[in-house]
Amino acid sequence: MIEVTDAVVRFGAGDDEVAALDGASVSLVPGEVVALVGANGSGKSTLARLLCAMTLADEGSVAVDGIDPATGDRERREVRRRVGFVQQHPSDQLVSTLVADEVAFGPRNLGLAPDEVSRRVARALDVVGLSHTGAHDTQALSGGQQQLLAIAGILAMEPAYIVLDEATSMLDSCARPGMRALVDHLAHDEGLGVIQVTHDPLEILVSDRVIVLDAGRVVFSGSPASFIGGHGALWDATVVEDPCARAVRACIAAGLPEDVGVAPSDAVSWLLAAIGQARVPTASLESVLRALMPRGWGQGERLERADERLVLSRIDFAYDRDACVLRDVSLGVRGGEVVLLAGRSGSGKSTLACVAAGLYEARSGTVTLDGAPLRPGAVGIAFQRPEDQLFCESVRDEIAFAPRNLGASETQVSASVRMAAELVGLEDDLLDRYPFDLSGGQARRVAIASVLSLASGAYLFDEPTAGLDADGRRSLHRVVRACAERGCAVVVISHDLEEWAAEVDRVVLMAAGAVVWEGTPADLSADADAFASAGMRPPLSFELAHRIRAALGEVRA
Amino acid sequence: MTSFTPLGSFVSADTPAARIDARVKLALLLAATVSLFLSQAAWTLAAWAAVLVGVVWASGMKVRDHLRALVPVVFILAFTLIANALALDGHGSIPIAGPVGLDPAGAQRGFTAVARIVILLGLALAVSSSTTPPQLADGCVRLMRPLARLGVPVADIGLMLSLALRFIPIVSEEFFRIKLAQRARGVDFDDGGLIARIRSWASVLTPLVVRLFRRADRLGESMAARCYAESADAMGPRVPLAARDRWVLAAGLALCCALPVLARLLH
Repeated sequence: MIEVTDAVVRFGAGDDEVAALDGASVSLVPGEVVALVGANGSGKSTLARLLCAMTLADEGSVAVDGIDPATGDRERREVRRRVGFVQQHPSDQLVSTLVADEVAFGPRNLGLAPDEVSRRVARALDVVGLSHTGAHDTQALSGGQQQLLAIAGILAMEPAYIVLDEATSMLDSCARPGMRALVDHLAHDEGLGVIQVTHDPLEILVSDRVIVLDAGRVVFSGSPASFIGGHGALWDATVVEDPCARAVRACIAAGLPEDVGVAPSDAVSWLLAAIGQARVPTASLESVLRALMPRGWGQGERLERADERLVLSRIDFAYDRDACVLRDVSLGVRGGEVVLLAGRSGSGKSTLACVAAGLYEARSGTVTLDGAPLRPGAVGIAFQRPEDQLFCESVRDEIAFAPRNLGASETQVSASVRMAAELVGLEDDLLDRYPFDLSGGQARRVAIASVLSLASGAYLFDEPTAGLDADGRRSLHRVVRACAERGCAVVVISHDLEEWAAEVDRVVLMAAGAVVWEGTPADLSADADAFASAGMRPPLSFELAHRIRAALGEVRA
Repeated sequence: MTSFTPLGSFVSADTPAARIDARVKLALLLAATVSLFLSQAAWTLAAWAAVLVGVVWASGMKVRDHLRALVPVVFILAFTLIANALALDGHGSIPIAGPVGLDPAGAQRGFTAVARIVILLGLALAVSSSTTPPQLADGCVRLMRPLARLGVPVADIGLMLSLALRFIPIVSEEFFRIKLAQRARGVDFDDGGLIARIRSWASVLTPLVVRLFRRADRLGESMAARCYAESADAMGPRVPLAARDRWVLAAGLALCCALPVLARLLH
């Protein structure tokens, strides 16, 4: 058992000192999946690091199976072995170029015999399903596989607990179901205690227990059912809006018994069985279906009258002579419209964005903005983790960088800075801060503002909300919509359809460098074959909606 | 995109040379270097040239690629040859103009030096084209293993090599990613005066360094989480050489010894 009692962890010194954890107490047992939830800055990462002795408590105590890591180096090392730690960024935690060596790193550090090391490597790779990759280059694995590899590296040390610090937040949505299944297997078959720090509503709903932190204190600890059912306001404040969570709530309203749990597929299965036995009215089926449907922006008619501003016509693109990355792609985005560009990784969506921004030159075909051909800087593009591009002395300089590069006068520059800061909701006092001192959510907004200040007619955002908490996401959703409302053509590139379906006007699916489907979010929900054509597995909410629609068809027939 | 690998040009193919253990190849390259400089006679150079032809064939590398690898050193080689062959103080036996003349003995000396470098470069290329960078790093560390008894931190050197190999592609990937992002913010890397250019590159290098430090931090944490700090011996198990590798090693070493010894005896 891990027992944390009244833990206090402080950062900084003197007047700047802040308590990241301020008297938190939790206890965890093997065989249980615990979700650690809270806004950015609530102390959940600090608590996660405390559990695996990456940090020590300033006050209070931690005991892992009776061992206190603060007693000495040997104890701390033993706690680190017993409580594995997996971080957010897959490739940043790999030390080796070969998969098998990577997994062997931990066991070799423990000084184990070569036979024992290779036995553990084989077993760990088998558990995460990477047995076939032993001799591969770690760099050649996908992000999802690299994260599985990081977990294998921990499992090879035979821990009793494993801490996953937002381990899925950087993964493609198609890698997430596999990760959820692995977590379930580790806790319920292998008997490990799994602690996952997460913002993902699905991961929270399928956990055994949820701990919510706020300002360094535990404000809730209990089952996910009592979190979503009994503490609705706290759920809404902490967790991002999600169709599956809405559906679970509708099921609870229809009388979902507690012992079924709140895993969305279990809840829907219960509902369908209950309908079959006529225990609940058909109306609840309709209300759950409504909850699952993407709400969409619903400005169809007004949009049809708007002009297409960003127009890509018959684009072919290749990095070198043989392999074609984009094939005959045509796409027009109207002023005031938000288009979601989705597809598996490697489908060409990020390349298309670079072509649409004038950064890559198409082999054939044309890109125009308001009828004129493009040059770099004419279309604003925010890449993934845009905060990595910050380098100026102040936030103001950072936002002014782009218009200055384009040769704007200082009056125009300050007008652009004001406009961009306002769009992303930056307070005036932040403008003179040092960009590297900002929190994650603030830095993201500054970086987005530093692209918006181009004052362009079209913007592209590549995974703008990756790694942000519910608040950060909501504010980015508003930024995207605000750009469209200024009359810009907006494209969002994301693998997360569930998050964006409600925020966009149109969805475009790509596969193998071509557009394979396009339509409104509502069309997407109704078209069962759309995802198959893009080689994607439909998101859970779409799958569940499909099951319910089929059942409704039967009831009516 | 063409990728650049600093540790030679590995050709992914199942060639005879690729199947030989990296330790054997490295040891033989070292022995060949010593042997080549011990042999004086012209016929030994011819013998080495023949060995090179065999090795190039075994590594499956194209002759054209070998010649291309010589391009950067052509200037130095030509300079070596000319500097040795030309006599500026009048001792040259074939006069050209005034005190400047050609010295045949010097020319021969220059030719020998150039031939040695070309042969060594060819052998080294054959090794790097048939061995992956991780195999090379691993081979180096395993060869250094006896030095651990003298207190050399061989395990740490091995880890450093491995991390360096991991970071090379990461650095170049991050570099291009940030450069692209700054181009999207209107930076023109090809235009403007020196000051403007320095400013442009600062917009890439500053975030690159910050990003690499952050990555290094996380990597350090991931190592600490796997109990690295007090590592005893984080190297892989000892792997004895296969029979074929031992034969190749023995034959290669014998050749390296035989050539200079024969040259001495026949002199």
